[in-house]
Amino acid sequence: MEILRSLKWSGLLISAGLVVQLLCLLRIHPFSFIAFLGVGCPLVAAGVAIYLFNLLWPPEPKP
Amino acid sequence: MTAWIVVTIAALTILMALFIGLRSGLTRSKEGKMMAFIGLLILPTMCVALGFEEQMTRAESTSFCLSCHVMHDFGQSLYVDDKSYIPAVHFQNNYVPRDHACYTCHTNYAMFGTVKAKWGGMHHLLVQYFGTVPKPEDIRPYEPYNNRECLHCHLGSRRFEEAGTHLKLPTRMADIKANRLTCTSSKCHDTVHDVSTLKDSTFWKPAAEGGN
Repeated sequence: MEILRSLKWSGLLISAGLVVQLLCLLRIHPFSFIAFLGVGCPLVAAGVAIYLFNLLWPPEPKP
Repeated sequence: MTAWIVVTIAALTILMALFIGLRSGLTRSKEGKMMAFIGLLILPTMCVALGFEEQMTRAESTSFCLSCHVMHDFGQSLYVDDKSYIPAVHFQNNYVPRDHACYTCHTNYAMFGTVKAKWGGMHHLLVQYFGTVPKPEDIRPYEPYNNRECLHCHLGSRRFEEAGTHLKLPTRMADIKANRLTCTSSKCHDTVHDVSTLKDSTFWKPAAEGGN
Protein backbone atom coordinates (compact mmCIF):
# COMPACT_ATOMS: atom_id res chain seq x y z
CA MET A 1 0.00 0.00 0.00
CA GLU A 2 1.06 3.54 -0.77
CA ILE A 3 0.68 4.79 2.80
CA LEU A 4 2.84 2.01 4.25
CA ARG A 5 5.60 2.79 1.77
CA SER A 6 5.43 6.44 2.80
CA LEU A 7 5.67 5.48 6.47
CA LYS A 8 8.70 3.35 5.65
CA TRP A 9 10.39 6.31 3.96
CA SER A 10 9.40 8.58 6.82
CA GLY A 11 10.93 6.24 9.42
CA LEU A 12 14.11 5.79 7.42
CA LEU A 13 14.58 9.51 6.78
CA ILE A 14 14.00 10.36 10.44
CA SER A 15 16.44 7.65 11.54
CA ALA A 16 19.08 8.85 9.08
CA GLY A 17 18.64 12.45 10.22
CA LEU A 18 18.93 11.54 13.87
CA VAL A 19 22.04 9.44 13.22
CA VAL A 20 23.60 12.52 11.60
CA GLN A 21 22.56 14.59 14.62
CA LEU A 22 24.15 12.07 16.98
CA LEU A 23 27.38 12.12 14.98
CA CYS A 24 27.34 15.92 15.17
CA LEU A 25 27.46 15.68 18.95
CA LEU A 26 30.78 13.82 18.88
CA ARG A 27 32.90 16.93 18.29
CA ILE A 28 32.59 20.58 19.21
CA HIS A 29 33.35 22.09 15.82
CA PRO A 30 31.64 24.49 13.40
CA PHE A 31 31.43 21.68 10.85
CA SER A 32 29.29 19.69 13.30
CA PHE A 33 26.99 22.70 13.62
CA ILE A 34 26.70 23.05 9.85
CA ALA A 35 26.10 19.31 9.38
CA PHE A 36 23.45 19.39 12.10
CA LEU A 37 21.59 22.29 10.49
CA GLY A 38 22.30 21.44 6.87
CA VAL A 39 21.91 17.66 6.83
CA GLY A 40 20.43 16.31 10.07
CA CYS A 41 17.56 18.76 10.45
CA PRO A 42 16.40 18.62 6.79
CA LEU A 43 16.37 14.80 6.85
CA VAL A 44 14.26 14.71 10.01
CA ALA A 45 12.03 17.49 8.70
CA ALA A 46 11.50 15.60 5.44
CA GLY A 47 10.56 12.42 7.35
CA VAL A 48 8.13 14.26 9.60
CA ALA A 49 6.66 16.12 6.60
CA ILE A 50 6.04 12.85 4.72
CA TYR A 51 4.34 11.38 7.79
CA LEU A 52 2.18 14.48 8.33
CA PHE A 53 1.29 14.68 4.65
CA ASN A 54 0.04 11.11 4.72
CA LEU A 55 -1.79 11.70 7.96
CA LEU A 56 -3.60 14.76 6.69
CA TRP A 57 -4.10 13.71 3.05
CA PRO A 58 -4.04 9.93 2.94
CA PRO A 59 -3.70 8.53 -0.61
CA GLU A 60 -6.91 7.30 -2.20
CA PRO A 61 -7.10 3.48 -2.20
CA LYS A 62 -6.81 2.08 -5.71
CA PRO A 63 -10.00 0.32 -6.91
CA MET B 1 20.49 20.06 28.97
CA THR B 2 23.38 17.65 29.11
CA ALA B 3 24.42 15.92 25.93
CA TRP B 4 23.83 12.40 27.22
CA ILE B 5 20.10 13.06 27.69
CA VAL B 6 19.89 14.27 24.08
CA VAL B 7 21.84 11.20 22.95
CA THR B 8 19.59 8.81 24.89
CA ILE B 9 16.36 10.32 23.56
CA ALA B 10 17.76 10.44 20.01
CA ALA B 11 18.91 6.80 20.18
CA LEU B 12 15.48 5.67 21.40
CA THR B 13 13.79 7.69 18.67
CA ILE B 14 16.04 6.17 16.00
CA LEU B 15 15.10 2.67 17.15
CA MET B 16 11.41 3.55 17.24
CA ALA B 17 11.42 5.27 13.83
CA LEU B 18 13.34 2.36 12.29
CA PHE B 19 10.93 -0.13 13.84
CA ILE B 20 7.93 1.76 12.46
CA GLY B 21 9.64 2.21 9.09
CA LEU B 22 10.51 -1.46 8.70
CA ARG B 23 7.27 -2.77 10.22
CA SER B 24 4.91 -0.17 8.80
CA GLY B 25 2.11 -2.76 8.63
CA LEU B 26 1.78 -2.39 12.40
CA THR B 27 0.28 1.06 11.90
CA ARG B 28 -2.98 -0.49 10.73
CA SER B 29 -3.95 -1.01 14.37
CA LYS B 30 -4.92 1.81 16.73
CA GLU B 31 -1.84 1.18 18.93
CA GLY B 32 0.37 1.20 15.83
CA LYS B 33 -1.06 4.55 14.76
CA MET B 34 -0.34 5.99 18.19
CA MET B 35 3.19 4.61 18.09
CA ALA B 36 3.74 6.15 14.65
CA PHE B 37 2.43 9.49 15.88
CA ILE B 38 4.91 9.45 18.77
CA GLY B 39 7.84 7.93 16.87
CA LEU B 40 7.49 9.88 13.64
CA LEU B 41 6.30 13.24 14.93
CA ILE B 42 6.55 13.92 18.67
CA LEU B 43 9.95 12.38 19.46
CA PRO B 44 11.78 13.53 16.29
CA THR B 45 10.53 17.09 16.85
CA MET B 46 11.72 16.92 20.44
CA CYS B 47 15.11 15.55 19.35
CA VAL B 48 15.63 18.34 16.84
CA ALA B 49 14.70 20.97 19.45
CA LEU B 50 17.00 19.47 22.10
CA GLY B 51 19.80 18.93 19.59
CA PHE B 52 19.49 22.51 18.40
CA GLU B 53 19.68 23.80 21.95
CA GLU B 54 22.75 21.65 22.61
CA GLN B 55 24.45 22.85 19.43
CA MET B 56 23.71 26.48 20.29
CA THR B 57 25.16 26.01 23.77
CA ARG B 58 28.29 24.42 22.30
CA ALA B 59 28.59 27.31 19.86
CA GLU B 60 29.20 29.60 22.84
CA SER B 61 32.29 27.72 23.97
CA THR B 62 35.81 29.06 23.50
CA SER B 63 36.95 25.81 21.89
CA PHE B 64 34.19 26.14 19.28
CA CYS B 65 35.29 29.66 18.31
CA LEU B 66 38.96 28.75 18.23
CA SER B 67 38.47 25.57 16.20
CA CYS B 68 38.50 27.64 13.00
CA HIS B 69 42.08 28.04 11.79
CA VAL B 70 41.76 31.80 11.33
CA MET B 71 40.92 32.20 15.03
CA HIS B 72 44.17 30.57 16.19
CA ASP B 73 45.97 33.88 16.69
CA PHE B 74 43.03 35.32 18.60
CA GLY B 75 43.20 32.31 20.93
CA GLN B 76 46.95 32.90 21.31
CA SER B 77 46.31 36.53 22.21
CA LEU B 78 44.46 35.37 25.32
CA TYR B 79 47.78 34.06 26.66
CA VAL B 80 49.89 37.17 26.05
CA ASP B 81 51.87 38.01 29.17
CA ASP B 82 51.09 41.71 29.10
CA LYS B 83 48.62 43.51 31.35
CA SER B 84 47.76 46.02 28.64
CA TYR B 85 46.14 43.26 26.54
CA ILE B 86 42.53 43.57 27.66
CA PRO B 87 41.31 40.13 26.49
CA ALA B 88 44.39 38.43 27.98
CA VAL B 89 43.88 40.08 31.38
CA HIS B 90 40.22 39.07 31.44
CA PHE B 91 40.97 35.51 30.36
CA GLN B 92 43.97 34.86 32.58
CA ASN B 93 42.39 36.30 35.72
CA ASN B 94 39.04 34.57 35.20
CA TYR B 95 37.23 37.89 34.85
CA VAL B 96 35.35 36.00 32.16
CA PRO B 97 34.70 32.24 32.24
CA ARG B 98 37.56 30.72 30.26
CA ASP B 99 35.38 28.14 28.56
CA HIS B 100 33.05 30.91 27.29
CA ALA B 101 35.61 33.70 26.96
CA CYS B 102 34.84 34.74 23.37
CA TYR B 103 31.07 34.71 23.77
CA THR B 104 31.10 36.60 27.07
CA CYS B 105 32.70 39.68 25.50
CA HIS B 106 31.40 39.36 21.95
CA THR B 107 27.74 38.87 22.66
CA ASN B 108 25.43 41.82 22.69
CA TYR B 109 23.97 42.68 26.10
CA ALA B 110 20.80 44.22 24.74
CA MET B 111 17.37 43.00 23.76
CA PHE B 112 17.75 40.16 21.23
CA GLY B 113 21.51 40.43 21.80
CA THR B 114 21.95 36.67 21.91
CA VAL B 115 20.04 36.30 18.65
CA LYS B 116 22.19 38.99 17.06
CA ALA B 117 25.38 37.31 18.31
CA LYS B 118 24.23 33.94 16.98
CA TRP B 119 23.36 35.50 13.65
CA GLY B 120 26.86 36.96 13.50
CA GLY B 121 28.23 33.52 14.32
CA MET B 122 26.25 32.02 11.43
CA HIS B 123 27.79 34.61 9.14
CA HIS B 124 31.25 33.56 10.38
CA LEU B 125 30.44 29.94 9.53
CA LEU B 126 29.26 30.86 6.04
CA VAL B 127 32.48 32.80 5.43
CA GLN B 128 34.55 29.94 6.87
CA TYR B 129 33.08 27.31 4.56
CA PHE B 130 31.77 29.19 1.53
CA GLY B 131 33.51 32.56 1.48
CA THR B 132 36.96 34.09 1.49
CA VAL B 133 38.50 33.98 4.94
CA PRO B 134 40.37 37.22 5.70
CA LYS B 135 43.81 37.34 7.31
CA PRO B 136 43.64 37.37 11.13
CA GLU B 137 45.03 40.93 11.30
CA ASP B 138 42.29 42.14 8.94
CA ILE B 139 39.43 40.81 11.08
CA ARG B 140 37.40 43.53 12.75
CA PRO B 141 34.08 43.50 14.64
CA TYR B 142 30.99 44.17 12.52
CA GLU B 143 30.27 47.27 14.62
CA PRO B 144 32.49 49.40 16.86
CA TYR B 145 32.75 47.76 20.28
CA ASN B 146 30.03 49.17 22.49
CA ASN B 147 30.83 50.13 26.10
CA ARG B 148 27.58 48.42 27.07
CA GLU B 149 29.38 45.07 26.79
CA CYS B 150 32.12 46.22 29.23
CA LEU B 151 29.64 47.87 31.58
CA HIS B 152 27.58 44.71 31.78
CA CYS B 153 30.16 43.55 34.35
CA HIS B 154 32.07 46.69 35.32
CA LEU B 155 29.17 49.05 35.98
CA GLY B 156 28.81 49.57 39.71
CA SER B 157 32.10 47.92 40.61
CA ARG B 158 34.21 50.00 42.97
CA ARG B 159 37.33 49.65 40.83
CA PHE B 160 35.52 51.11 37.84
CA GLU B 161 33.40 53.74 39.57
CA GLU B 162 36.26 55.11 41.72
CA ALA B 163 39.08 54.89 39.18
CA GLY B 164 40.92 58.22 39.09
CA THR B 165 41.15 58.35 35.29
CA HIS B 166 37.41 57.75 34.95
CA LEU B 167 36.74 60.74 37.23
CA LYS B 168 39.49 63.04 36.00
CA LEU B 169 37.06 65.21 34.04
CA PRO B 170 33.55 65.93 35.32
CA THR B 171 31.85 64.60 32.18
CA ARG B 172 34.10 61.60 31.58
CA MET B 173 32.15 59.03 33.56
CA ALA B 174 28.89 60.11 31.94
CA ASP B 175 30.53 59.93 28.51
CA ILE B 176 31.80 56.42 29.21
CA LYS B 177 28.41 55.23 30.42
CA ALA B 178 26.66 56.78 27.42
CA ASN B 179 29.16 55.22 24.99
CA ARG B 180 30.27 58.66 23.81
CA LEU B 181 33.81 57.86 24.92
CA THR B 182 34.68 54.30 24.03
CA CYS B 183 36.65 52.13 26.41
CA THR B 184 38.61 50.36 23.68
CA SER B 185 39.67 53.20 21.42
CA SER B 186 40.33 56.16 23.67
CA LYS B 187 44.01 55.45 24.33
CA CYS B 188 42.90 53.85 27.58
CA HIS B 189 42.11 50.18 27.00
CA ASP B 190 42.93 50.07 23.32
CA THR B 191 45.19 47.01 23.19
CA VAL B 192 42.69 44.36 22.22
CA HIS B 193 43.51 41.18 20.24
CA ASP B 194 46.56 42.77 18.63
CA VAL B 195 47.35 39.71 16.55
CA SER B 196 49.83 41.46 14.27
CA THR B 197 52.33 41.83 17.13
CA LEU B 198 51.99 38.33 18.53
CA LYS B 199 55.31 37.10 17.19
CA ASP B 200 57.12 39.59 19.42
CA SER B 201 55.07 38.76 22.51
CA THR B 202 55.79 36.53 25.46
CA PHE B 203 53.08 34.17 26.61
CA TRP B 204 51.70 33.13 29.95
CA LYS B 205 51.91 29.41 30.59
CA PRO B 206 49.18 28.27 32.99
CA ALA B 207 50.29 25.73 35.60
CA ALA B 208 47.49 23.38 34.62
CA GLU B 209 45.36 24.10 31.56
CA GLY B 210 41.83 24.92 32.63
CA GLY B 211 42.82 25.20 36.30
CA ASN B 212 42.35 28.36 38.37
